[in-house]
Amino acid sequence: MEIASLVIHVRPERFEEVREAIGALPGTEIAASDPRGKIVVTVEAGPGDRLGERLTELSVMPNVISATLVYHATATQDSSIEGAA
Amino acid sequence: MSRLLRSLLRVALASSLGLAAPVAMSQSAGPDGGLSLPLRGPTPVADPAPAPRIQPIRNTAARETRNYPEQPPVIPHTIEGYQIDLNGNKCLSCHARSRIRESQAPMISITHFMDREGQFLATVSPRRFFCTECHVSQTDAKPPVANSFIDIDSLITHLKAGGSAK
Amino acid sequence: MTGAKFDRRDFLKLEAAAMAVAAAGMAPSAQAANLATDKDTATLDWNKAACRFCGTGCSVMVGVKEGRVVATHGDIKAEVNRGLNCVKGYFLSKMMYGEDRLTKPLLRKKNGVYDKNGDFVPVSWDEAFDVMADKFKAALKKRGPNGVAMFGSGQWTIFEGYAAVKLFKAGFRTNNIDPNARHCMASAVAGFMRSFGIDEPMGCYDDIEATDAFVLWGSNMAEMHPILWTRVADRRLSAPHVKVAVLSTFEHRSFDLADIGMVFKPQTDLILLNAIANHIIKTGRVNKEFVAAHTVFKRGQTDIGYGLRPEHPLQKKAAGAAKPNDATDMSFEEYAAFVSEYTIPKAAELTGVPANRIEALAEIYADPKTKVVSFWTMGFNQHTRGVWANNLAYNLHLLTGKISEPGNSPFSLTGQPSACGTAREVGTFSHRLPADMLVTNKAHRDRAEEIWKLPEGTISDKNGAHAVLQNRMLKDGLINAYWVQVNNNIQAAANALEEGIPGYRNPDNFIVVSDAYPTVTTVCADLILPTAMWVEKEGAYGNAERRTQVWRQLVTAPGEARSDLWQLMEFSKRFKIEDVWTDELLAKKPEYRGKTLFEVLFRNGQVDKFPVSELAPGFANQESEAFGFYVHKGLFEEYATFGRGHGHDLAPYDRYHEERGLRWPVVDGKETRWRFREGSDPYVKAGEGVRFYGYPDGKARIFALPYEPPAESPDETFPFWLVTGRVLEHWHSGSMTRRVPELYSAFPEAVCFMNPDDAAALKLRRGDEIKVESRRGYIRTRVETKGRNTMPPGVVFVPWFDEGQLINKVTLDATDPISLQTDFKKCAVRLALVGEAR
Repeated sequence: MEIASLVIHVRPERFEEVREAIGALPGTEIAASDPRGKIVVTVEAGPGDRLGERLTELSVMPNVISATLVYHATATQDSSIEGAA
Repeated sequence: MSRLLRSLLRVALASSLGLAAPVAMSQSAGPDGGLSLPLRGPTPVADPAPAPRIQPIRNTAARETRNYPEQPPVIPHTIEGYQIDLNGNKCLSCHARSRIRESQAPMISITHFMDREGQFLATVSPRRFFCTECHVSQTDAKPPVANSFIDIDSLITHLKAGGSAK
Repeated sequence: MTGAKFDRRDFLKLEAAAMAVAAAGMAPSAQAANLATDKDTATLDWNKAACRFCGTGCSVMVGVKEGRVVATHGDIKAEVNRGLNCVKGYFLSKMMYGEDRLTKPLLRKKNGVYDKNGDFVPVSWDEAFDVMADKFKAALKKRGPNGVAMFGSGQWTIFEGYAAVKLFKAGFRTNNIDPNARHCMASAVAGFMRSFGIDEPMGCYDDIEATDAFVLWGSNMAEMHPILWTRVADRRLSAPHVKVAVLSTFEHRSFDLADIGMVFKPQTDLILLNAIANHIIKTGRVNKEFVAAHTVFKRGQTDIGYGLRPEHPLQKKAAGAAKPNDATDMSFEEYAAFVSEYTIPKAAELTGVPANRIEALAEIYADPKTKVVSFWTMGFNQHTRGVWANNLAYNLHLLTGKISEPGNSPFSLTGQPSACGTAREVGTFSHRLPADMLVTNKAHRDRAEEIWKLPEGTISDKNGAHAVLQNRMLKDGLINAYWVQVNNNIQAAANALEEGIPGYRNPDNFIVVSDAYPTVTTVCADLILPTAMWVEKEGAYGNAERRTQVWRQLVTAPGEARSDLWQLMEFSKRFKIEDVWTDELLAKKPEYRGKTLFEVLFRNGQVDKFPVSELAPGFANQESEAFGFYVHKGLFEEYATFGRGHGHDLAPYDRYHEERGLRWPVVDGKETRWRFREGSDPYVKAGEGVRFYGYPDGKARIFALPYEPPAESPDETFPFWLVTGRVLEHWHSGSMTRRVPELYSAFPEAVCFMNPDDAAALKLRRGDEIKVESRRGYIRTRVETKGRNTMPPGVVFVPWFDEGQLINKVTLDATDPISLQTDFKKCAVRLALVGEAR
């Protein structure tokens, strides 16, 4: 499982619209937002998902000025023992 | 930046600096059944493992974040050669109430003036005399196993942000 | 509590968000500002629990939020610690959250099937128990009941130890069950049994505030019993007349409070003890009235050997090895003559302690106006003459009548949180049954069989294999199925290379290890069972002052981890009574035919007596939910019937949920602080004053026992004494505390403490990597010439918490022949440079 966070700068006048659009994406949560045009998003991708595609999708979304990746981590489930073979 | 955020950030940085979960199973079939022991290293149990270097004691004036308010703070500086015995207590020469203006060190907690019955004494309670029972200095040694304890502030922030603890 | 689980994934998301919020330069969410006013969010669930670590038995308050432990602190209401914890106790919150918790059973497999040389693979509990039951049944078939064994712990809860004893002694009909407390205080147990005929201290911690002098015999309380040490320091520093004497083979932190510090040559504590007895007699300070009324004198068997394998030359040579516990009657005059050779000048010469200090110490005991508490732990107990050392200490208190009253107390401290509560009181030793009863005593077996509703003859009349013997029998292929719970014996037992590791890896054997974390013992196993720990289950511990403490389950263990209790009881379902009992035995209880061990042992109308409706609302209790009855209460109440009316009375179970523990015997709802004393102990009748009722004659035993040399002493080839032990920051083998970053960083790896002149003579400098080598093996470690310990010439100290160094590859598995406890404090080693510091 992968987890990432981004800071997204949006046009302040379209703030609510973008927020809704982001909120509708699967695996994506808004962690914080500022109506002056900033939204902090966390993205979670399971084994089958492609995190990269989701990030691209966010950055090309209408009214998004920029999307910057801040954090990325790969986590094993629950405890790391599952990597067993 | 708020204290809350600083502590969150510290946790986050700690894990991004290589303290993330170790891989518990090594790839190859070893004599130890392929199960790794991060606190021992890769040497099979029956063989003598090399001894890591003695790490220096961290020696700063910085205050460390506590995991919870009840936690005794760790000592951020070296205490090598400090005398704490029947003749005196070197720690008090900076941390006593009357010395902190000079030393700018944190004053020992008010709880340390209480006796067993919960009464406040004029001086530090003798039951608190040996500081190192609770306060320990820290070496530069990096813990091989990460700890996923979550402090209450992080947990509350998460809940407040609408996160359910699912 | 049953709150939802907050897992690693949530944690990472939280971190991710925090990083991004910080990067964006945004204020944290508006809600955070309300923190102080939002009561629901800020409120924590606080409940009491006994500390997971040492035998002091501090009570801690545990703060829980959303199913996670978020804080712990010392319990203000607890008599033991009154709000304090040591550094380990304060970090209990983080102990359960090491990243590599075991969450699934792991079985060694090759090509999909069990293979002794395979790699560990996650399996289901069903598969784990199937394979395990097959192996246990095969071992029982091949070798009979004694082909299986269990090694348990003084960290087992009372319920766990009791269920294990029932499963092995009654179910499998073997006494091959022993706890790691054998390494820790078996000598104290034998000492009590020999001197008083009943186990555990007569006094209690209240003695600390009532005494005039403390004598530490082989106990570094400042590091190993930190909270008791705060009470000793409180007494010493607030009452200036109080004196503290500290005796050890090297100077450690407890010397910081010492008025009289004494470093003696290893093993010569026996000489000091006899010299003090002689001083008391010679100066006419024997309490004659007390001695005449309450004691008898015994001459103990001598030349008793060293508990080594029978073919060892030292064993063959020992004339008294076959009957080490024997004793014959003697008179006071004969005893006085026996100790008369131990004069103070001679003691000074043999021990290396200046005569004036020995005399000052002797005066503490001799002066009738000075109340004295003697404390001891591993220095006495881990000693090839450990039982003797215990007996000789009691002699001093008995000769002077300084016993069983406030401030006068010979006090054997315990190392583990339930060494008393579980290992000793429940009787998880290979020779014991609950309430001090013995498997070799027919009346005792009868009573146990009666309480357990078992046919006469179920329990074996032979002592089982003790800790050291278990490892030898594993190596020799005589025990073939083995279960280890709540200990790390490959790291803890002496002589790991010659006995422990070959025993576990013997292809004839199947080794099961239950633990919460990977350890060196788990990797030597064939099956690893993931275990719930501490407040992840309901528990009960008994501390060193006879205090029984209970806690509730507060959180849920990760993944599929289950408590040892659940494991023991669930595993018992895999055995039909016909698998383990003979036809002859079954004929006495035909109604048990076709039943499982679970039904016979735990569905017996007693253990299953209390319904789950009696569970406290708001608390999980996974075992009770799994089995359909209040397991803990049922086990406790059945167990308590052993001791009630027999000097070991426990209160009704439910009361312990309300109290910060109670000291047994608890009679008519009242605990007992000083045993054997009229007015305090309900078992002493009016007018008796003092009665040592452990023996039918009501008298304690004063033993004449000489100095005998240790099993191994330094020589030209191995010129140093090696002492092993613990450090403040780590609990035992470090599997929990080294996973707490602050504790790890405080004392990350073991080092070899040594005298600076010894180091200089060997051209070693602080930080150099060296070999510490004995006849049995070596480890690599680092030279430490500074720090908390000051070593005399010729003695080195290496703590055993470090699984990277495994100092028990070096130690000798010589034991006290009476207690069968290993001497971890004395063997001979040499040191050699591996690599320089820089």
